[in-house]
Amino acid sequence: MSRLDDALREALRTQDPGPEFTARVLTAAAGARGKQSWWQLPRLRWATAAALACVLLAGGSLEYRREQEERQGRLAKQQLVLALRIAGSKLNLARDRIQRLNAGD
Amino acid sequence: MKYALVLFFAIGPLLAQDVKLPAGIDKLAGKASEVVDVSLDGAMLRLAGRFLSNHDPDEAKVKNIVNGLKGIYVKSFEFEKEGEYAPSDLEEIRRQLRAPGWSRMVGVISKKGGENTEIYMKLDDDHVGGLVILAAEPKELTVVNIVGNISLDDLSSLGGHFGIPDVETGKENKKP
Amino acid sequence: MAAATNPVMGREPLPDFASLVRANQAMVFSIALHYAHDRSAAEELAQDVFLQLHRSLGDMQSAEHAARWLRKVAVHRSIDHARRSRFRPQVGLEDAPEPVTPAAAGDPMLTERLRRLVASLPEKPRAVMILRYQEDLDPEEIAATLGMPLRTVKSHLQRSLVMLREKAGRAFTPAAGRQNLSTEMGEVE
Repeated sequence: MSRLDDALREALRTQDPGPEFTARVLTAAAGARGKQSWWQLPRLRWATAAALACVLLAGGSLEYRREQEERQGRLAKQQLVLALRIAGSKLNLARDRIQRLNAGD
Repeated sequence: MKYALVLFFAIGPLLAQDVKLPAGIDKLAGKASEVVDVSLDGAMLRLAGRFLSNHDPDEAKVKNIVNGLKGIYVKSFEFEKEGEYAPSDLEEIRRQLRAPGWSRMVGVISKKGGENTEIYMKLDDDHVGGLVILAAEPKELTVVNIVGNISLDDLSSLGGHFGIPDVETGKENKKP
Repeated sequence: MAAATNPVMGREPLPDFASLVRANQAMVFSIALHYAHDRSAAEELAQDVFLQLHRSLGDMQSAEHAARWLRKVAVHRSIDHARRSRFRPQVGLEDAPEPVTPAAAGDPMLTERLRRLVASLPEKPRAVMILRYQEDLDPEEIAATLGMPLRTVKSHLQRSLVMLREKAGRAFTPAAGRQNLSTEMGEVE
């Protein structure tokens, strides 16, 4: 096994995100489970299924839309930063070349 | 030597004629090994702005820049080999930038390295209505279209921020 | 927390979701980090992967199956994330001076340099390198994980190693590297 292989294994060693991450994932998963279990209550299922469906659908849609908007917003932010980075770097490239030309390089 | 063509387009926000990318530009995606395609109109810019933090100096700077903009459009193509795009692909764009209101501010041509950079600006009265940068390298073509009022100084200062090295100088401003 | 139902009789019961998270979070997070480039984005990406596992728990047959599934989903979602954000850090080589002596094991400067070089690879070759050197998969397993032809995997590995050897500097002896490369790759296209 080459030194490069060893060095790459060292460089790409996994990093554990820690117990806080675990807790966040389990909390998020439990949140998803909680909604399902509420919906499965047998009395409510038959007696108020239609009304609850409307309420949940509206609430779920709102929540879904909010999450969608958040995702879109974060993605738009990333793309914005990327676009401005490209713009800025090309401007700097031109400026750098001009400066070098003026310096007689 | 890598050829990169970066085209920045800025379109005037008022009655100015839009600069349209020629149809052939999008066809280059089929030949490219890597493609960047960013298309943010006014609504998307406002949405993105809501996720920029006022407490982060870099993000606050971006937020300030975005306030004056109506759109940002970037197309960037990287190719495996030279010759995948033709100089005529840019000529249609340049023709549009000869329209009234547009001025070519900078043109840097490097015959040795094959790297050409042109910067066009649209001036509306006393402020910038848009910005176009054309940067061509042998194996890369990028088009950026910035619509609205933008400060070149602000834009230039972003190259090298967000923990990203300034591509040309290699200097990096790391976020605290 | 009760163990998830394992529909296949006679096999070890599937560990519960929390156990699966703890056992695999380092792997998933680390894959995401190679693409997201900052910790919070990587954690968010990794969390999404685990929530997807949670929704698909009934399809998992064993701990190993879940780990393979997580690895595959983590890589694909990370590649998608990177393509959407189209961010690849430029390697500031001025910040990582070329080592002049052969690298000792655990050389932090070299480690960081290599990490940044791998991070600068395009998405798919980067995935191949991560699966090879983080996950210790062989090329056939990498091909299956990525849905990529074996020859493409080998090609990505070869090119990436050549680039790394060139850019990582004199820390690695070219002759030894070539010998080990051909041993590792078998017949390389």
